[in-house]
Amino acid sequence: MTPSYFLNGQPVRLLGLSDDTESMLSSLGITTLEQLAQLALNPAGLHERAAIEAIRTELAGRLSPYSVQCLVKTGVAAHFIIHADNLFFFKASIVPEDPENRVCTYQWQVKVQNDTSYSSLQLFHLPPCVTSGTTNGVIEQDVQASKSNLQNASGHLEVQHSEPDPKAAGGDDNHQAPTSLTSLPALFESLLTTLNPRERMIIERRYGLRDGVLRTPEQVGEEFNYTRVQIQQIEQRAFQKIRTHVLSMQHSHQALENLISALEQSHGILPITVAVQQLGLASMRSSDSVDEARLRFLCECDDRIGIPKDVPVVALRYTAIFDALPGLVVAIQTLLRKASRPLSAEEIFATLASEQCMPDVMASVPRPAILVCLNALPRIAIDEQGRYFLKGRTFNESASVQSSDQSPMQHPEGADQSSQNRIRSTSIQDSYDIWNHAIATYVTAGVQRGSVVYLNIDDDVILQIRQQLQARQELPPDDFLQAVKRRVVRGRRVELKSIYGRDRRGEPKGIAFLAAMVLAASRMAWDDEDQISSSNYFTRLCEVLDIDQDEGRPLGMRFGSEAEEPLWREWAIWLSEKGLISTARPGEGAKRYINYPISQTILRRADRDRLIRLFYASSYSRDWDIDKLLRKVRDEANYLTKHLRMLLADRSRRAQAIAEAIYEVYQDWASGDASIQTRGQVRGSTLYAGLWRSEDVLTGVVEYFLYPRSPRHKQFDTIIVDIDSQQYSLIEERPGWYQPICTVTAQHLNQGVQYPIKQPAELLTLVLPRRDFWILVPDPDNPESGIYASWGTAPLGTSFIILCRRELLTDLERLRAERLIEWKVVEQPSPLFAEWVEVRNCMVLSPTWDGVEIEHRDLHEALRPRERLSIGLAGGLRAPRGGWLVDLGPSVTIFGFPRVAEVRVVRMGDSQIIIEETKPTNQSFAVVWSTPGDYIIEAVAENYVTERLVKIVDWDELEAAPEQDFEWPQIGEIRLAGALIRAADEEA
Amino acid sequence: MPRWYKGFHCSGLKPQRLINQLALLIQRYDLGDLVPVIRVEKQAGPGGYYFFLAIESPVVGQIPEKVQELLFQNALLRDAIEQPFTFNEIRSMVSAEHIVHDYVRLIPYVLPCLPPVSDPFDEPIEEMAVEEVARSNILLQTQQYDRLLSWLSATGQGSWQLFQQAWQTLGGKVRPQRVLRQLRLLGHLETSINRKRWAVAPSTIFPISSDERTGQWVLSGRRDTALLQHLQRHSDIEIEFAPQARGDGPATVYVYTRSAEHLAAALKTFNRPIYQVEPAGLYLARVLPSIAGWKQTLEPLQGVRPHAYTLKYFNGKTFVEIDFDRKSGLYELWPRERRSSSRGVIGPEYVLYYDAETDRWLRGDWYDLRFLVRYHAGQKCPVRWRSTTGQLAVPLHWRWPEIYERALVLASGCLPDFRQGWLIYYNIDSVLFEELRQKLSLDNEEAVDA
Repeated sequence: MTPSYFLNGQPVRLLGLSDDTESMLSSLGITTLEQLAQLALNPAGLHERAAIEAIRTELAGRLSPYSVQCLVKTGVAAHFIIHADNLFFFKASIVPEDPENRVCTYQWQVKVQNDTSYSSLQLFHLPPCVTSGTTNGVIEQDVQASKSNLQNASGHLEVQHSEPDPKAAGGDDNHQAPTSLTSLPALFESLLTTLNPRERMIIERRYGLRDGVLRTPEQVGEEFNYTRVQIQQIEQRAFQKIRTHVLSMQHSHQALENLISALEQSHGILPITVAVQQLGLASMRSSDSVDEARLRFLCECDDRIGIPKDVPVVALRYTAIFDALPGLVVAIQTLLRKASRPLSAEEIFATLASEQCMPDVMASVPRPAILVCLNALPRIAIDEQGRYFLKGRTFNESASVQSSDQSPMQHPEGADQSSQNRIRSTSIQDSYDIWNHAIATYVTAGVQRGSVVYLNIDDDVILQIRQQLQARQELPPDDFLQAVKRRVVRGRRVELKSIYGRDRRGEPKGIAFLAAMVLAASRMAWDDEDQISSSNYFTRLCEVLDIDQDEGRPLGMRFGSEAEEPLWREWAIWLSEKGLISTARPGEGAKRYINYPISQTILRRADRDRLIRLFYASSYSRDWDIDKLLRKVRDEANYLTKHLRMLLADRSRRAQAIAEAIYEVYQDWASGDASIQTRGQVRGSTLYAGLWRSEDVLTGVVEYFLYPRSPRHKQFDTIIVDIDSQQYSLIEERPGWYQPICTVTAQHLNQGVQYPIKQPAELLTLVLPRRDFWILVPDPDNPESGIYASWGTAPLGTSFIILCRRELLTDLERLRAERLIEWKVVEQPSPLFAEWVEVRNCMVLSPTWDGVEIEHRDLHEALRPRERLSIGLAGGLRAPRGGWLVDLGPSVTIFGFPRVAEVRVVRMGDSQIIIEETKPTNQSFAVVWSTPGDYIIEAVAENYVTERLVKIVDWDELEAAPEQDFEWPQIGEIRLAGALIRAADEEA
Repeated sequence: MPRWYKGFHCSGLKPQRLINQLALLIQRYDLGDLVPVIRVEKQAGPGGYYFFLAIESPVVGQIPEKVQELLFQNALLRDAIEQPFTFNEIRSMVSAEHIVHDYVRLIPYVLPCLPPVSDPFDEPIEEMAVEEVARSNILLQTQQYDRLLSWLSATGQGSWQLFQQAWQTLGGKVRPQRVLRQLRLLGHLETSINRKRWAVAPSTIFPISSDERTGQWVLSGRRDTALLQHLQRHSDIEIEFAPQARGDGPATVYVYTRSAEHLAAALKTFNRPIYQVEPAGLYLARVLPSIAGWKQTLEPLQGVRPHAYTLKYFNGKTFVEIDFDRKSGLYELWPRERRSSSRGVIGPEYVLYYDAETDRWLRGDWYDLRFLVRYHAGQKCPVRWRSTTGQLAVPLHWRWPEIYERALVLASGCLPDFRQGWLIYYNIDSVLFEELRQKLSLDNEEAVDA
């Protein structure tokens, strides 16, 4: 007889594994048998494999010489099996069994001669702590039942559980979650794991996850003694948590991804019933209402999908169809209501297309999607000829036949005006989306990872973006502000709901609106900074959005924390995902919210004008690179505005962004026409290159390569450079840079070099400027790689190389004598570079550079530290595609001149503070990087602030590298690559 | 602001004490930005010495008010020289040794942390540790190896230094040279002939025949979660992760399938090539050259000047010092001057095989070269092969060259177990055994208790 038991709710300790294995399982989050069964869902994951191996190894050791196998089988159900020869068979399954729930079932089959041999296995004992009643009642009951069942060694036991009392868990975050008595499907279970008991219970009730009854916030509030608003707040927070973690929940994430790809293949729309099947919930044989309730829950978990109002379909939010659907449904129902006979699909399409304002909708919504909608609408029925009509309507059949080749519309001009308005409002969404994407590209194109980014939008920038769109023939029908207005302004209200979240490209939908906010700030930039206040800022914003309101926040944006602030946060998160740092910060007191847009304006109109006057007055050459220009501008800072002088004195990480903004003004001026109409057109016609240095670790041979920098604000699909009659296509190496293309000779270094660019026409030359020195810093993405290049200035505490002409050594010695810098060795890179030397392992030591004069002021300016604090990261195991692996993140050092710094390490997804304490500078400290995600490290000391991003990746996120050329070792007549063997003459 | 120097004379106080006291004063009054540097005359005579304070002020010679009020009232600075100096004027007389102090908070100069340097061939001569491995250690080690393989798979290829660094970061206690060998044995990794570069091998699935794993396949080479999940999703396929018996390598991934066709169908739908090949161990055993042929593939080291070294010759058991007489064999080459090697420990610079026939110094790992020596000495490796169980026992101190051992390991997909001085390989059928017996001139003792 082989007994089989259901053991829901039991702890893992029931298996009688050793403390070592139990603690290992516990460290992997496995403490119950349900969780053990989950191993079957993703046995390939590293954590899961570790757990399986832990169990297998222990049992193999204990049951030796019998061999033990741990297997996973999947089919309709997923099973985790432990099989020890003929001794026993243990199966933990996740099976769709109950009509509404999946129940984890455990079977235990023992082929033994008698009880003695069974108990000698010691695999299924009941530890005293379980039987002594210390666990909760449900488990106790199950254990006793199981024990009794085992002792009887007969048959089959299923423990029935009672429905949990929601009140028991309500209101107290610390309250132990009741045992799941009616187990949820694994998909829901995994999504709910991030919630505390209260949130979980409220979500379960609200979306009927156990009983399929969708409840209103009021109804749930009554049950838990909360107000509607409180329930909504808890719900909002809960979904925020789920959305944050859904990416890391492999099973749930995969299920949602599958649904989304099914939607993408089905024109962005699926009937609810099909979506339920797609999610693997169909076997529950649940009612439609149950399906819809649960699907609504899932839609809340992923803001890419949603159920449009009054339409029983799931649709992709980021497609045109989602916003168009409600209007479309109204239009279809109006059409059918007014039709004198049932209409075929073709007739409906044709009629809708002929409607005023409908062509846009019809163009943006594919016909198959409209068909899905027609078939899904409960009010619409289909006759035997496949024609559609509104339920409850009767037709005169003869009229129907007679009018079959005429317009079926009784009053085509009488279409519901409100439905037309709704449709119109959705048809212009493309303009907004195009602007949104164009601004996102403009702001981030060519920016090196780790840089700070400004959403620095003013009228000139909008004009330039417009020109770029025009050049690409992508100019939308609506101008920027018109598009923003149409998207968010309803009457006198600003409604931002539609621009929360991300679009199909993964970009925040709110960028264009935020740009409009910054534009408003830039237009008030002539005002004295002290006079800036909320009231005059919002007056400008209302002007920009063309809202008839004299002062104060626009209606609908009454509370910054609930209106625009989430958009700024999303912007910061998106940038951090790209390895960039947002500079948008809240202000103090009354300026809290307006500081976000105001902080994004760098140069104001007056600053630009003053700069251009300076360029003319001082007869600036028109072919300087950015470093040379900045040096000259700094020399003549007294001529500039107070605001500009303040910017030039900035020694924070903003310095690079400020320098670029000034250089753009210079490029416009240098192009010969600084009029607003042509600004940006000629700008960037020169592509600058830096140096890429590699060194053979064995021979010490140093080589330099031409390392082109990507243009700022522009993206080009193809750039072809002609180098000595050979054409090179530039390939992106990393954000901000193209791959090194050709070696740099001594002559290139001595005299500079330029090469013609064949494509695109707006770029003319690739230039390696003539310089007396180059600062080469270690690869910021992998400092241990031994690669150095002109990736900007070296952060404090970083050792770099100065490649310079020999005559500069005197100056460098002077700086060293003043203890401003230190280095290890000076060497000539190779005999070919007779005029040049490398000063290696150089570091900046001191902040006091003002009084030290040297002959080459450029060198002084380039070396003096621009910042007072920087964050160094060292060690750890880097993931090949960026970031560090979980638990193996880097140690952190705050380099700087202050003695101590206030350090905060914050996980960006959930704002969890990991570290918040005072640390001595220039000493490394460890951080526990135990959760994947994006982190920001902030250090503050003596009014200096610096930040750095750290990305922590999970092991399961590692993807195998593409196969690359590798010379397979040859052994006799064969070549080998692991277990793959080829004949020596066969191509590898 | 220009920096200039104010000179003072001091007597009766040692320079270092003066510097310390001035440093304290400057720190106390927070004058580091205005008086960043102190320089002292090189040679203090019996009548005292001069010292100079660097001062930063808009006008040379003008002492900042704060400095005048707070610092210059001190008795140490009573004996001042009126005229200001530039650095060039005092350069020759001041010491370069203790000119500046860190009371202006300087960033400490540190050399960059360089990747570890060691020789990838530097396998220790002692036999591998044979003590019993605790079960918890097996789990921990397996996880480390699994992670290493995941990381190697994602990285693709790299340098020996990178490999070492990754292994050390993962907390691996085993020498990275040994880890490299284990991964090569399992078919996960290849190295260049000088072992300075490595590349993860292509994902390959091969069947293992006979024993209880009949019909099972083994996955070697690059692997990631996506591939494993892809296999897992197929209803006709099951996969199992089996840790190595001693936890000394990544878990073996066994793939169970009904037929090669099912497997091929599953692999075809994956988005990158997975090679499906015949039994790898058997095939490798067949195509491998004889020992003489294999010797030709060892890396010859150029420019070795034996007379620049003290040579020790391997006599089959240990190394003994000899005068080099161009006799074939295994040598340790010790530097003439007793100094630590490039690896930072006292030891031979190289362990090389000298091939008198071709006058070449050959490099290989310890097991490779030791086997070669014994082979050329006419010794036969004693083995015990049991046909009924497919187990092959090889004495630990006769460990085979890596490429031949790889054929044994690929036969089962798992590393050998260790029992009572023997390495036990599994799933070795008669054909495979015969192929290797002939090529390596094995001496098959009667299998008693393999």
